Amino acid sequence: MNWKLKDILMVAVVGVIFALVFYGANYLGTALTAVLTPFGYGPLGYQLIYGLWFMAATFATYIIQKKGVGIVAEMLAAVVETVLGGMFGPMTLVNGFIQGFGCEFGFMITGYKFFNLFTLVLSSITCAVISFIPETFFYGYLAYGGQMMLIMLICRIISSIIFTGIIVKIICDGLAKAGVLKGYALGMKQKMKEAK
Amino acid sequence: MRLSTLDRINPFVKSIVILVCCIMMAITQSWQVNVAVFLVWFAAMLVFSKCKIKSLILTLVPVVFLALIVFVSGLFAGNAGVDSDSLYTVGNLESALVLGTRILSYVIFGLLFAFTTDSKEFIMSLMHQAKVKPKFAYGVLAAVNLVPTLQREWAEVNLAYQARRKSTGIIPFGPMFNTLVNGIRWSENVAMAMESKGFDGEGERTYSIETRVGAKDYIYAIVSVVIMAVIIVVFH
Repeated sequence: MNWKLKDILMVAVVGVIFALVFYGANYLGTALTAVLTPFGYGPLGYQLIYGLWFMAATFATYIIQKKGVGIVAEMLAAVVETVLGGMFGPMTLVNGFIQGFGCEFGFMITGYKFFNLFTLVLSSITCAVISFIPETFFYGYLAYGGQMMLIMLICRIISSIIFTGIIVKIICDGLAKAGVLKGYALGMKQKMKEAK
Repeated sequence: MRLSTLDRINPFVKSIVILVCCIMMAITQSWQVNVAVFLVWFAAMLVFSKCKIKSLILTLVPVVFLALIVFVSGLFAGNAGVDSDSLYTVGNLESALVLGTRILSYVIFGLLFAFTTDSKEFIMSLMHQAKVKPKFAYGVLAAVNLVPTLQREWAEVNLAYQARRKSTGIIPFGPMFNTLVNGIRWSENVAMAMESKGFDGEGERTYSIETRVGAKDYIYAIVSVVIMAVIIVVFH
């Protein structure tokens, strides 16, 4: 799609706000890991909130409703996170691309025809699954063994459905109602609904 | 101000080299490699950049804490020893070490980048070397410069809640939403302001900062990858 400056800035500013949320989420993830470790489920700590990191992609796609928005939005958010001094540096860009592609995939298989709760949830599932694969190598998840990896994946999918699917929909619909999305596809649909 | 050797490497080249090193590291599953990588790049940062050992160690404290937790959680949940009588086995210890030290070695690359790279220069080099369109580059730059404004907004919204004696809850959804609303409003205004000043994200333009790739960048890239290869061959 042809990006307008206003779209880029909207996604980047939302990326900045998310990056500030990630800052706190990193500590939350560490705390969860610490709490769960005595029960033998330490590896699930981060997976339970992993959906937070995919939010930029579905957020932008649901608002702008065009092809390729997911990948670019997640990459923009990754650049923002890198620039703001994220812990993992440029590796964030690779993760951003993979996660963006994962989210995009959910909308792609429905042919970019529907932008609703169903496609948001579908996209959050594809994102959780696709981004899990390279991470098994990057972070050495293989060492946890098959059973634990399966539990990790399930937790990741559930967290993704909650954050990347449901919460994103609630926030975006709220923003549309607040009237700040008039210049975007979602806001226009909202306006048409109100006119009827 | 005199720049250190690492500060002067082209940011785009620096990030690509880090990516290559990380991918090389991801192929191995050995804690010796991870530790060696951590030590070598830690030393490199002390020698070739201006960052102080004290600030480096202070930054690493939470990371080491995280690595320790991951190590312990790996001990209890690792690959081997699930059916063993003892709490953990040697196989389990090995895999837990891989998991814990992997975090350290990743973060040292992240810190190397964060400590020695100017964010504006990084975005400029994305434009000059990675051929990212100016509208994306300057868009991100404008958004990043909104951080102080967003933080002030966040504080003001929280203050408004306090003044009305409204609780924000454990997770402050209300203030978050308000900040988001104003953030999106500003993003539209900033975009309009930029365009009204004649900003054209596509066409030819002049640049205040032009980043280039020179001999030192090639040397840096080759030396880094060779060191990484040597570490893998020796310790794997």
